[in-house]
This record gives sequence, structure tokens and C-alpha cells, in this order.
Amino acid sequence: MLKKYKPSDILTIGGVLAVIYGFSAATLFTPDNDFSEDENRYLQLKPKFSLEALVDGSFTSEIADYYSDQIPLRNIFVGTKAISEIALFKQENDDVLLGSDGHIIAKNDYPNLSEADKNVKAINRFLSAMETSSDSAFVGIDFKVAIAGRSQDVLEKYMPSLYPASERTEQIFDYVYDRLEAPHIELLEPLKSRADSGEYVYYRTDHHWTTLGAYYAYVEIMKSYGIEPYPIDYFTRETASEEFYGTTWSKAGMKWIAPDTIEFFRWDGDDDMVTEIVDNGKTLDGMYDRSYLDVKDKYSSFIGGNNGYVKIYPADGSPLRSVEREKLILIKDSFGHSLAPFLAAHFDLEILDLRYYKLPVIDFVRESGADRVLILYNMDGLVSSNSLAMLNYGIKN
Amino acid sequence: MVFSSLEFLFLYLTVTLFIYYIVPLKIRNIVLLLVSLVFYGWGEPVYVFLMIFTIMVDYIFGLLVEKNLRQDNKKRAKLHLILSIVINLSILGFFKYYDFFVSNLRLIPGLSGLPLLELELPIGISFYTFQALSYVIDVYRGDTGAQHNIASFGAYVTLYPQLIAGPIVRYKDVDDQLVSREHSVPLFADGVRTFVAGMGKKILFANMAGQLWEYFRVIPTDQRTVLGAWMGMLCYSFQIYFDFSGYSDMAIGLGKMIGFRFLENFNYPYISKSITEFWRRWHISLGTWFREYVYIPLGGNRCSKLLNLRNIFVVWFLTGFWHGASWNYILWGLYYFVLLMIEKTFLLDKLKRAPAVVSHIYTLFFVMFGWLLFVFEDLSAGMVWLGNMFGANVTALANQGDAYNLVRNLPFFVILAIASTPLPKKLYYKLTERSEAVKTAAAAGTTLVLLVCMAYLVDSTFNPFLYFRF
Repeated sequence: MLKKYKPSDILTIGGVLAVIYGFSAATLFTPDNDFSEDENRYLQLKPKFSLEALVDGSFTSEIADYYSDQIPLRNIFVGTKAISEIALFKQENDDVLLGSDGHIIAKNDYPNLSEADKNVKAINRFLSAMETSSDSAFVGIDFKVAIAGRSQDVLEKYMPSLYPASERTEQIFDYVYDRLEAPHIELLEPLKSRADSGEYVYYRTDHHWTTLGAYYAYVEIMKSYGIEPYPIDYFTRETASEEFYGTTWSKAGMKWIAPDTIEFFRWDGDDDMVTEIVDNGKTLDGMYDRSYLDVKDKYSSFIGGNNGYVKIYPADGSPLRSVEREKLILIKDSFGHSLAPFLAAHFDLEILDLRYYKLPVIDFVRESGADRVLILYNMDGLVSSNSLAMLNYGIKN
Repeated sequence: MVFSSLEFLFLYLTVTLFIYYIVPLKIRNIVLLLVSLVFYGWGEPVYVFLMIFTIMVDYIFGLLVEKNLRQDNKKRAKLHLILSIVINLSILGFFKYYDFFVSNLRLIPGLSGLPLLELELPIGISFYTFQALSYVIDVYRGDTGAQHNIASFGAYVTLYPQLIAGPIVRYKDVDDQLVSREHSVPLFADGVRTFVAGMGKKILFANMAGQLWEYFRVIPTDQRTVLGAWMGMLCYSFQIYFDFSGYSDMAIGLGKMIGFRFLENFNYPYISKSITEFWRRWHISLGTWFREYVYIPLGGNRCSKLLNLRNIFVVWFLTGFWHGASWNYILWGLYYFVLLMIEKTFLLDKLKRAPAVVSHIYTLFFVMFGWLLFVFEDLSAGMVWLGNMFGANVTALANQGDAYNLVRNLPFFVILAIASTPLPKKLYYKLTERSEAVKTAAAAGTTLVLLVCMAYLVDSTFNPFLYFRF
């Protein structure tokens, strides 16, 4: 019966119908995944119908999410799109630049600087509240700000040739430093010059600095404190994982990019440190949660990942217990995680992440007896959200 | 719901095609009406009642007009026609233009307290209202009989392929197809090809050009360049053409898959050599509608020059206003009124004698400026952009970022430019007319385009979320 039709017509119809009916059935009848490691989010499961959900539109939008989240071969589709964009010489996909030497670099060319402005104002206000306070608890506290570059600021060497990296970096850093009233520690140039000379200071597939990068940041911070940092050969470098696919890798869809290596810079006695995650009452022996090395989010092995309030101090019986140690409050985004083990060699740490810590910071500082407060953010954290506004919570006038 | 979505492909289209083809011919229009109502109500279920109301009103008035014409009561027929026009336009006016009128009235001292409604615009209201109007008018003019079967009439008004973005199908063009239409393998295959081609235009071309336009659009005003402003407008010009014509193609293709033949809506507008020609090639169904139902009834050109000028003015004012409830759309319509008048008076003759390259550049240049008026609802932002294109308030003629974006997008721009011409289609016909083997290979290409479109669709929903677990 089919004979009287042209094969091309039959093939056109057959091919297209096979695809839409095939994927339709496969989406419905294969088991659903509830979590995507690549995206670090829960996926939409089969929506439940209710009249209420229909009327408020949530039913239909959940159906849309269901098909996009549960379609079979999802990662292959995402990778196909990346391949076709790169094949068109676009040099980037989904706002990730395909750099040289296996680097992929997230870009944000025209970030909304009003967020940075708000964050800087919050820092300034916090500083002036400390300085003008009549409370003696604030006297003598060393308060500094350190801003790490984003991958796109640091990895210029690996960017596509015409990409105007330094121009944009300069604009944004100037904008922030012009407005910042607190003293700052310069981190961008020291790390960028290391990257320029080929050192592995930022991950190739993730937005964070490597542990080596964090070491160089530590050196700059200690220099600004007038304390001698430990030389690099003081540390024993342990390869924690050679299979680290970072956040940029998840975003880029460029599945052919090779994974990164995560190192831990170990020092004598770091196993005797206690990392106390106050949020949930858990403690780590040492400063690494190695269970994260078995999942995708390996960077969270540093001090247990994202938490609101973490303390790091020597355990009972550690020889460090008998030494007089300064206390440092580190107010940070995730760049602080791999930096903390270095700082912990010198200081007892109280680490706050204002994305999750929701109590007045000014009271925290007043009651902590801290010697130093260090705000450590990467530029992306500064321009992309206003989490530092929490600094001003509890400050009167 | 839009055609370029996974739930349309894998849920709506699969289910509705299946149902449509297993039911007997007799009830296919009822099925079509029902599935179209589902499509319509997908985003905003309550508006289904509005749609049903519109169907009922026009169905009844169509019958009344026909009855009065049969009884030779032309006056009464006219009265019913006018009533139906008033009701249809009132609904459109209320949902689409109420806030526009009120926000302008609020500028008058003493009226500043008038409340805005901020209603969600019922999807496709501008399109289906015009279709419904064409029906009653056609019946009044005797161009067609009234449709006595309410399911068939409802199917015409709601027909999901062209419900939300056209083409605007005149009743007299499909009245016999509503009664009986051809369901055949060649037509279905043709529909599949047209649909997938339209989807490619929308997803692979329009959406990607749109992302680039968005990139340029958000460049802060103190960091703009001349080249950046031009590239931005170029991207938008590509975006709007491929978006709109891609959507029309998808509609036409889906129509063919269920046996309807709609007229073409776009005919390579960017190869025009004059603005007059451009408007014969751009959104053809809208131009036809205004000519048939506004321009000619007003007297067309069979009247004094002055009245003719008024008629043309009215058409372009309404064309602009139809595109959106904002002054920039009106201005955009009137901009074309002025250009067309200039061409009509003297320029068209000159353009015909000018070298082709001059008339092409002239046309694209003014069309692009048209899009500038079109895209910025905020006129002052549009004027700033216009200034940027000519060197006002820019940091440089071009910067390194422009060079980067130009170089990396050059292959894409070339593809878009070629795809805006009839060349690919001509090539396809040339290659396939001689050999069935090439045609078979092209059939595999159709499936491949669909799969690539799916990759882009899946990717657009892929959103890594770093801190979600908290």
C-alpha cells in the first residue's frame, strides 16, 4: 500500500513521527530522575493534576518542566547544542568561552554594577559602624577586604584571541575600589601574573581558584598583615581527585573538556584541627570532608562546603592549643573554602557565609573577641547578588 | 503554549494528531475545536470562556446577517454586521488597549487617578478577532455563506496552528476546506517539511539572533559603540524576521498536516528593492486584511486624491496600532505611511531605474530603522540607540569587544543573510527535482533538523543552579 507513495515522503513523515512519538513515549515510560548532579538541582517529576493547579497555571508550567527535565538523552542534547555552536565558530556556548589548553571560562560582560555598589556601600557602612562605635570591643580590630578575580579576569592568557578581557576587568575593579572605603588586599594582579606564566591557579572547568591559587592569595593576605607566610614547600601536596568537573563544565555543555585536579595542601598538624559546622552541629576531623570527593561537587570537600557558620580551631590535645593564636573572622563566599586551611595554620577561624548566616554580624563581631575581620569575595559574588547587605542587619542609624 | 517547546512536540502534537486521525471524518472538526480550545487555554484557562463567547457571538451574527440578506433586508443585515464589529472590537479594545488609553488619559490633570487594569492579554486575540471579523464581513458581502455548523465555525476561529501568531486566514479562503479537505500523504509530508523548516528558523536562527540582540541591548549607555549599535539592530532585524516567518511556517506546516492549505505569509521580505515591495512580502495576510476590510471599504483609490491619502493614512495608523498598545507602534506605522507616500509620489520610479544594490541597501536601511522604532517601546531609549548608531554618546566607533563579537558571529550572520533569500529553497528544488535519491537524503535532513532543534530547546531549559540545595 505504501508503494504508491514517494519514499522521500514516507521517510520524512516516518522520521519525524518516530522522533516525536519515540521521545514522547520514552519520556513517559522510562523511570524519572529526581536530581541532576550536573545542575545541582531537583528535577520536575510527573505533575499531579488538580483543578486549582490548572487554574493558577502551575499544572501547565510543571508539564513544561517535566518534559525538559525528564527527556531521555538530555545530556547528549545539551552536548549536541554546544558542538553545533562551536562548529559555527562562535567560540562560546551559553555564556561560557571556549579557551585554549582545555580551559572553559564563564563570562559576564556587563554585570549589573548596582549590586556591587550596594555591596560596597554595605561594607563601608559596616566599617563606619565599627569605627564610630563607643564599644571598646571594636577597638583594634584589623578590618580588610580582599576581592578575588573571576576566571575571566585572571585567565586572559587562555581566552579567545579577540576577547577584551582586561578592558572589562579593569572597569569593574576600578568601579569597586573607587567606592570602597575599607583597606583592600590586592589579589587580582598577583594571581593573574601567575596565570600568565602558566601556573595552574584557577580551575579549567570551575569558577574557583585552585588550591595553588588559594595559596598565593594566602601569601598576599599574610603579607598585608605583616606576618611571614609559610613557604610553599612547607606544605605536602596531596592529589585529592583527578576527576573534578566543575560548575563551568556543567554550564558549558562542552562534554569533551577534560576534568580538573583538586589538591589539598597539607601541613603538619592539620589533622588535629576541628572544623565545626555550627549550622547543623556536625564536626569534621581535620578540614576536609572527603565524602564529597565521591560526588560531583568535589570542591565542597574543603571545610564541608557551603554553610552559614563554621569554626576551625585546634582539637584538644593538639600542640597548637598551647600556643597563643589570634582569632580571625572570615566573611566569605565559596572562594574562602580552599583558603581557610591555610589561614587556619595561623588563626582560629570563625567563618561566616552571609548567603546563609542570617543573624546580625555586627553583634557577632562585638561578642567574638576577634583580632581581625577579613571579607573575602570573588568579583562575581560581589556583582551578582547583594548578600553583603546582611552586614548591615542590626546596625542602627 | 508555543510550537517551539518540548511539551508541544511530545505531548500536544503527538496526542492531538493521534486523536485527529483515528476519529471518523465527520467529527474531525469537533475534535479540532476541542483540541484548539485546550491549546488556547493552556496558559490562561479562564480565557477559554472569552473564546467561547467570541465564537457564539460571531456564529449567531453570521446566521442573522445571512438570514436578513436572504429576506432582502439589507439594512437589518448591516445593523447586525455593525453590532458584531462593535462587539469584537470592544473585546479587543478592552483587553489590549484599555491600559494604553487610560495611561494617556491620566496625563490630563484631574484624571490621574484613573485605575489601570493590567490584564493579561488573551493570546492571539489580535489574530483571531481579525479572523472572526472577516467571517461576518464576508457573509455580509455575499462572498460566502454563513457556517451553520457551530463546531466547524468554532474550529475556524480557534484553529490552533494559526491561533496565536497568524497567518490571519480569511473565512472565504478556507470555507470549503472546513467542509471537506484533503488528507493525503504528500500533503502531510509537505506539512512536516514546512513545520520543521519553520521550527529551525525560530529556534536555530531567531532565538540565537535574539540572544545576541539581548547582549547588545543591555550594554550600559556609557559603554556603547557605533558598531555595537549597528550589530544590535542587525541582530534584531534577523530575529524578528526569522521569529515571525518561522512561526508562520510552523503554522502553515501544521495546517497541512491536518489538511488545511493556508496562504503564504512571508515572501523573502529582505530581498525587496523598495518599501512598497517590502510590504507586499512582509506579513502578507495582515496587509491583505487591511486592504480588504479597511482600505477598500473606505473608498480605496477610487476617490479623490485627498480621500485616498486619508485612506492610506488610516490603514497605516491602524497597522501600527494593531502591533501593540503603545505610541512607538503607532509611530512605526506612520513612519511607513510617510515612506510609502514618498515612494508613491516619485521615489519608486527612481528606484526602478537605480542599480539593484542601491535599492536593496535603501530598503534594508529604512526597514532597520523601522525596527528601531518597533523594538523600543520607550521612545527615548530608542532615540538614544539611534544616536549611538550615528556616533552620539558612544565611547568609540568600535572596540575590541565588537571585533570579537563580529568575527565570531560572522559565519552565523552569513548563514542568516543567505537564509533570508530564496537561494536555499531554489537550491533544494534544483537538487531534488532530478533525483529522488537526493530527495530521500533531504528527508533524513528534516529529521536531523528536528533533532538539532530539540538539542537547542533542551539546552535552553538547562540551568545549572549552584546553591539550590539550601
